[in-house]
Amino acid sequence: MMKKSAEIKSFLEHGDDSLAIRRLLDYSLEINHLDLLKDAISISKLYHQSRLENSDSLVYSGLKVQSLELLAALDLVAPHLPFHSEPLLKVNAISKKYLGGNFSLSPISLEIKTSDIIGVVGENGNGKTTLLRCLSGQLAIDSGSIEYPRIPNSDFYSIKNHVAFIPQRIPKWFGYLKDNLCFSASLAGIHGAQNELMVDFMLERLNLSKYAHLTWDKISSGYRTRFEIARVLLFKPGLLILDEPLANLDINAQQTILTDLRYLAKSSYHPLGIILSSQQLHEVEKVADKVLFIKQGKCLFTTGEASNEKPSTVIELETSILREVLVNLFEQSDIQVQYNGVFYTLSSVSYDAQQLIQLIFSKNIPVTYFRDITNSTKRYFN
Amino acid sequence: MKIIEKLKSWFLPKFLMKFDHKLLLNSPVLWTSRAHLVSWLGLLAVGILSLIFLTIPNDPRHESTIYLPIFFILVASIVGVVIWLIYLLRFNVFKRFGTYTWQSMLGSFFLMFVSLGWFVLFPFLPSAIETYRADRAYNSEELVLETERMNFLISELMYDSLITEFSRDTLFVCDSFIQAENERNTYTVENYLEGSINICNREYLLRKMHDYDSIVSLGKGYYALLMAPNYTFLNVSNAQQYFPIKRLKNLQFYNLIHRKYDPDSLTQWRSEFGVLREKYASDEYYYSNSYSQYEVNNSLFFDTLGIRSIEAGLANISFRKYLWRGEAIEVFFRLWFYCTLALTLLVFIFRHTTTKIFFLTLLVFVLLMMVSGLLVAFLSLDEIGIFNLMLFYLIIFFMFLCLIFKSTRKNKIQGISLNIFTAVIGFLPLIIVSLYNAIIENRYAETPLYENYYEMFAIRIKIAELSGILLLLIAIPAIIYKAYRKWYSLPVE
Repeated sequence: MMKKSAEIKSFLEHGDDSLAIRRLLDYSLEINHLDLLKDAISISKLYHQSRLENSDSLVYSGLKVQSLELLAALDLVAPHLPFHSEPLLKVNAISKKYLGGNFSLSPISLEIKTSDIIGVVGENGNGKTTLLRCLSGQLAIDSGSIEYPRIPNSDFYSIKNHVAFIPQRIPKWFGYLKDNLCFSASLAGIHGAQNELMVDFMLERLNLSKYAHLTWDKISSGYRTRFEIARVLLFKPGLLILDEPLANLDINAQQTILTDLRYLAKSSYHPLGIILSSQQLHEVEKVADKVLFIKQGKCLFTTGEASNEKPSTVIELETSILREVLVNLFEQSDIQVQYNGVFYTLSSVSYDAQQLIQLIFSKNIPVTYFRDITNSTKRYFN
Repeated sequence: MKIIEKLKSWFLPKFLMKFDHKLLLNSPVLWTSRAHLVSWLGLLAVGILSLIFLTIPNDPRHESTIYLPIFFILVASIVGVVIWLIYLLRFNVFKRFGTYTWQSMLGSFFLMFVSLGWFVLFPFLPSAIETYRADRAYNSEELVLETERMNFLISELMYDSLITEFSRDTLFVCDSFIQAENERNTYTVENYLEGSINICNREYLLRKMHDYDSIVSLGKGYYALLMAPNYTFLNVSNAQQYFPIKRLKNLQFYNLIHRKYDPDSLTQWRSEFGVLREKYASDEYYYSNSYSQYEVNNSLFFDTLGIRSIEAGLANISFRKYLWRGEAIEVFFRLWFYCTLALTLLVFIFRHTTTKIFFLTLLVFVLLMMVSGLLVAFLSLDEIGIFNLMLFYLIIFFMFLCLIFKSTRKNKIQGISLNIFTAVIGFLPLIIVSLYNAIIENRYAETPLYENYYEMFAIRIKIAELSGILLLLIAIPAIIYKAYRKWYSLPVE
């Protein structure tokens, strides 16, 4: 907990206000002290209000003082909460074939525990959504087994209560956003004043307060995704499954959501497991503990697991020089050069990434962009 | 949106909105039903409608004009149901996989019934208020006594035109079957036709004597039964049920009219009759088949005193005043109850199944009706056959329903079976009792039904109706809840 406090102080000192406020909210929730949580929500509201009004730094400095005071108060009451990781889902060689369709999902096994984030990546139409729908109990599997260790003797109703699935196309909801959130909290057994407090918290945490009294038609698709996340989080699921949650978000929102998901998964208040599919490989890889690459229904690669297929170093490179020149420069080495129309992909067995980059600079190749994708699923896209 | 908000602020007080918010935070099942809002608005609507129908001019003597308002209220009720459905269907605890116990399902069913009950109730309101107004305007005692008085006054005022001839029935009294048979061969036996002869035994004659005003022996076992002319020109039989008086027999009334006739009192009687006519006469002309003998003999008889208008007025008053009494209330209650129950079952099923399966269920139901119709026609099925067919369907649907508990995938047929089972299980006792009644009627087809058959029939139907409700309320937690929970959450193919 003290580490968290130091982290928030550091964000405040370096002007990472938005992140600091979000983390302050998380910290307050984890301490589970209602008055302090209310204070954190008030600070967050003031912060968002001042952002809206373009207030000067005086307001910010006032908020900073309040935030530090709250942090000190939180530190005083912060208990030591030992964190135990619990298995949430055990998937054993599940497969699925659609009736009358050509596509089939080959046997896939995985396991997820609380606070784990698993990313599922792959090209369109290769089975990501099918896998996620099977895991959430929406789609029947043909073989294999799915266990939900937290709900022994589970029926599908309990499973769906335990597993929240957010599809890519979020189904339309009706009524005011806030009413929907209160309803979700109420369904999860959060009643009375605590319900209102948790809804306020979630509105602030996902920056939805100014949309609280709007309806579906009046908010953008990005906010709909955020709203859906807020709604399912209030429902307190053990496992959260998101299908392409980043699809409707701008680059800033993508990073904010991914960061938030990471923090939410590892929250000591209500840690949960998250499985998400996305096309944003690098962003997902940054937050995910494990990434599954799926191609034509098969899991070809899982990050963190040894693979015999492509042990070489691979980097992505953008340069203004011609391909022939580039090939000639690396003619004497084992470096393979491939071009996908945008980037060059350089792969080598004898060089590691650091050496490869040094080599590129030593040959005075003008570089506008490069990325080490040796351990990324990106190398499998071609 | 602004209009809705404005309407909300007009009709929904702050305390109710606070209560609504409290329900949202604490009891999602209660909140989603919106029964509290419907009940409040229902009370308001009842109040407003009552005020309108109590204040608008409405003379009980005239023919009722409430049919158009009833139509408009019915349309408004349908619009109300649609608006309620829009709000109801926004939130669904069951489909969101929230904490949904069998108590929640039962409570949800009850609250939906209450909400829909209000909407079904509104169209009944105008007629109930009309009854209330007629009841306040005229009481049964004055109706009965003043009608009697009017009959007396009419008779005295039209004294010269009164029929004075007695009607006559002839009876042949015999003690043996052979004697009766001999007489039967001689005369046509027709009851109640003047000049015809009834053959009977002595016991019958003694019993019959009380119904007639006079009996004259014609000799050789023949008797003439005489009846004084009927001077009951106006009648309020409904009122007499609620204010029974010992009415004079025809002969007593006949004697009274003739004894009391006094030409000097005619002016006073005319004026008294004028006051009563003013009180009861309607603008309308009421043609009844009664007293046609007067119409034939003297068409001016009724026109002179405006009796037909009084008759129309009394009929309208009687109709309005006694519409909501006795058996009619039972009929109205049944109409309200079954309309509400049918709508509740539809909404209940829609809330617990997928949209696709709901509409498929409706389609299957219609197709089943058509197929059953063809079966009934081609196999010449009687009532027993039809009820057996219904039971057969129910068993089949129940069997498919049971398969849900073993199923690992969502199955359309099982879903449809579950929906139909839910819709008809409450009517199972009624089907069984109707089948039993049909069997009894079939057994007594050649002979008269036993004496209290129809009383027993009514009691059996009532028991079946109550058992049906009970069965539905038991089936919800015992089967329906578990089946829907399992079926809805199953993964699809």
